[in-house]
Amino acid sequence: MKKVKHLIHRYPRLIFGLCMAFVLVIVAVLAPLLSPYNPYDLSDDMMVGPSAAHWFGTDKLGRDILSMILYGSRTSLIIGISSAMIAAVIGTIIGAIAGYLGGKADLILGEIINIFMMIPSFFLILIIVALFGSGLFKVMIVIGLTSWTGNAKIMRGQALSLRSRTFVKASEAVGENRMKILIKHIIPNGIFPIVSNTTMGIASAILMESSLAFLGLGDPNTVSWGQLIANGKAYLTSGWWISFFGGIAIIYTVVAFFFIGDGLNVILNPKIRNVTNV
Amino acid sequence: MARYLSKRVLTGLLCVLVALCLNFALIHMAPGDPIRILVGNKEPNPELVQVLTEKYGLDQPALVQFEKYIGNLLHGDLGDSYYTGEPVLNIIKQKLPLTLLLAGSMVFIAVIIGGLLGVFCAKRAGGKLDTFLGSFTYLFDSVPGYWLGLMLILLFASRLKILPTTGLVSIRESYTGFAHILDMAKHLILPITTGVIGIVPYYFRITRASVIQQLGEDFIVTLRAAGMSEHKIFYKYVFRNAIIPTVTAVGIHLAYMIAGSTIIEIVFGLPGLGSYLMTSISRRDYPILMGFYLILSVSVAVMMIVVDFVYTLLDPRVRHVSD
Amino acid sequence: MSILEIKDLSVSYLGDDYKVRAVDHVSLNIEEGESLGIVGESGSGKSTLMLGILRLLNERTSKTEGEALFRGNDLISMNKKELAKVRWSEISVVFQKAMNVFSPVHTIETFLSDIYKVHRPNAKRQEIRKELTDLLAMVNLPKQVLRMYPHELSGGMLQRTSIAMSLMFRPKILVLDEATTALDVITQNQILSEILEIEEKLHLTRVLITHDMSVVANFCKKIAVFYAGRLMEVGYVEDVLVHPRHPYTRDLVKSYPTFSEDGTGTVISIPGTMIDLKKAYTGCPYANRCDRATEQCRTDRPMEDQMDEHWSYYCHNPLQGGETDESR
Repeated sequence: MKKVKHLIHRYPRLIFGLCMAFVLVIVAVLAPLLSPYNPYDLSDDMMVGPSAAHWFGTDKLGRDILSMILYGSRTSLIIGISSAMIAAVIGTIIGAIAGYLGGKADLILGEIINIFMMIPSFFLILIIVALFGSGLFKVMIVIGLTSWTGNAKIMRGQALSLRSRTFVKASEAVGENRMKILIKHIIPNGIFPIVSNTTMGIASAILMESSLAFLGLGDPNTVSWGQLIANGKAYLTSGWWISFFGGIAIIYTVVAFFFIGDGLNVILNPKIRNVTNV
Repeated sequence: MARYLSKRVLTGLLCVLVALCLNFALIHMAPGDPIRILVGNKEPNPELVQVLTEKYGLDQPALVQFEKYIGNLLHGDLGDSYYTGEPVLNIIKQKLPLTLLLAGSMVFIAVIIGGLLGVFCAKRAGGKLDTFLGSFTYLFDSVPGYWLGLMLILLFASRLKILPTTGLVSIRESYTGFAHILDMAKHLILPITTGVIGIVPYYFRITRASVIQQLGEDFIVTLRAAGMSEHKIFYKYVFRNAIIPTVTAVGIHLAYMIAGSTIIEIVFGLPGLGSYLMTSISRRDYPILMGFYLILSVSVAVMMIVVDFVYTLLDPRVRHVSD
Repeated sequence: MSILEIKDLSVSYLGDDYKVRAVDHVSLNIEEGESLGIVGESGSGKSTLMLGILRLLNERTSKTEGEALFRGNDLISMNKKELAKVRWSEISVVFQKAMNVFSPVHTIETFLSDIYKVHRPNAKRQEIRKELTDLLAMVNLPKQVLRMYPHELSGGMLQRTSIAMSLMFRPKILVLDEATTALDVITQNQILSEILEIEEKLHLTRVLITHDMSVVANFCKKIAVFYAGRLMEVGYVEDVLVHPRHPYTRDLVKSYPTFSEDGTGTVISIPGTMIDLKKAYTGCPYANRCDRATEQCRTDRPMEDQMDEHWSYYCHNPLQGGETDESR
């Protein structure tokens, strides 16, 4: 008990974030059991405000908002985690190769990273999704493909500094294959900041997905929080609850992942906390 | 330094080129025939299709179209809208000012608020207030802009009725002169507030981190040991050193906000670039899409170069290294 | 007459869940005009001592207790306004990493002028420039340095500039905190010799903090040996280094090749590691590594024993004169 208290005191955001994310995952997994109604089912109770029967009210077609929100967590988590993973893998590989090999490879890859970093991604995602269709899978891929640059930058820096460390030099001297060194030493030893950045990436991807859904560019066949908010836009004055709860769900989820990412950063960089100051 | 800057200019040009290619390729790979959309739901009239196809050169290979496009670009011709026939440049000229006004005021206000908060927290880093405000900015970060916009409309416009809901001007009244500007300003309060809340955390974090870093530098200890007041140390030295990353961020952010205000424009029904973009997407109006994208990448590239230049002015070490 | 009287001074670093006693009840007198070398391994608290006295440590993460009387006025309890007057004009410091001592985005002139104006707020520009030029000349630097940025100067030049800066108000006490450690031996000796000359001229009291015994032997009159935040032995260099009373001093001397008296160059290293200062302990901190340690050393804190007015040590089983040759 004392230990738990100590951990909370030391890494408050990480612990809170982990708890929040845990609840979220449980909700996503158990959505069919927890939902009082089927989120796709229409009913005659249209535009009912929050009540005992419908905690979060119903929309214009009589669908239960609470059930839609519970199911929506699945969409958000799937897209958030998968896109962040795609971005992590691409970023790690490109960054590690650039940083470890150095020289011309670094020059070229570094420039590619820079260029992709400069290209405004929101706009690009918008155009791609609008033109190519907006299935769950496509949205996931597009967000992943446009958000790897941060990871690549971080990994490149890590690889650059690891390259000159003794254990890497030693492996090189022994004549180990460079590819093998890359996979065995460089990536595992430099991965920690990628982990925290990817956690933050999950949060950003979830926000991005919800924005696309709000703009009508989400997967029309799945329940999503952004779409829910968009649906409620026209009924803002007569049915505020339609939009309101979806936003709360997004905030809750995104905060959870931001907190975890920030907490991991604090562990990684304890210096942020203890600075010389007056 | 000249060499350094020219290298940056080259990178910028390269970036614009890559962006253009990417954009062109994407648009031409996209399913959906713009002619079909142009003609609408009517039974396609073969003659009309023929005329339109030739007019826009849609029957030529993509590479030829691209070549022609780049050639026209160099003459300052961004093409004409498929839908309205208006030159893209005119549309941009018409829509850009509002978007710039939005983006500019959001960034300006956010820098001030975020900067002050960042300094405030950096001075008590690790303390309770710092942790609390830090968590709070994550909350800000997590609020989807469009949702916040809707909620603000709900609260201030629908319920309290102290601010107008959407649009740029009041439709029922026709104000002139100062009253017109005041009316516009009133319409912009909620959109700008929404945008500012979204980006304040960004400036807060940059400022906080760089102030913390500077406070830990050895030369701060020197100044303290020399008996300089904390006040002067802060405003002349910590601030001067800490401002560098913030200035850099402002420049680049300003360019990105041109795209970043899209959603806000849509939520608040403001006739800027962003809301027009969404319309153009649904119309498959390629010249408009390409034009907007070009403007966006050019402004990002230009801001990068400007930022680099400012950076060399602010930090003598860069001048030295790059020589 | 003593110019700085340190009385029972302790400095602790406060962590989230621990407390490190970096300086542990130290009492030390510094006489006017003398040169004192403070030696010790890293973590012995030698730098923290001076930072604590000048109150340059973070007040939230550290705590300084005890007294440090500068000409009878306690620096530790003094109000900030008075302290600001003492800083630099009476006690100035040359810090270790000269590269980081100056603001990277300001010229040397801007930086030095601002410091000058702290204590001479009404100084005219011309006066300041002349003063700074003279200062630089004192450490053999041309006036062009003023127009330069820190990154444009070499390590040696920066250290000289740093020294010039510390002499700005002709302070009574000059603290050199590992000031020459980062320089090569030749530059180091050159700079230290120059300081000796300046010292004569300005009647400085010098405190030299270093881990390098040879520097202390060559450039200081007195030596204070620190270990694990405590003062072990203090006295004239020729007494302490030749006939150390404290076993730690002896071991430290023996671990430097040039001081091994048998001349064969046998260098010994001290077995074991320094105790963890995060943990509370009783007795003498060196007890776990000392060959002369007894039960008493582990339970009772050794108190000051004096050989004479200048020479004292903190040990239950001090070495008697001539015991230095005794092998461990």
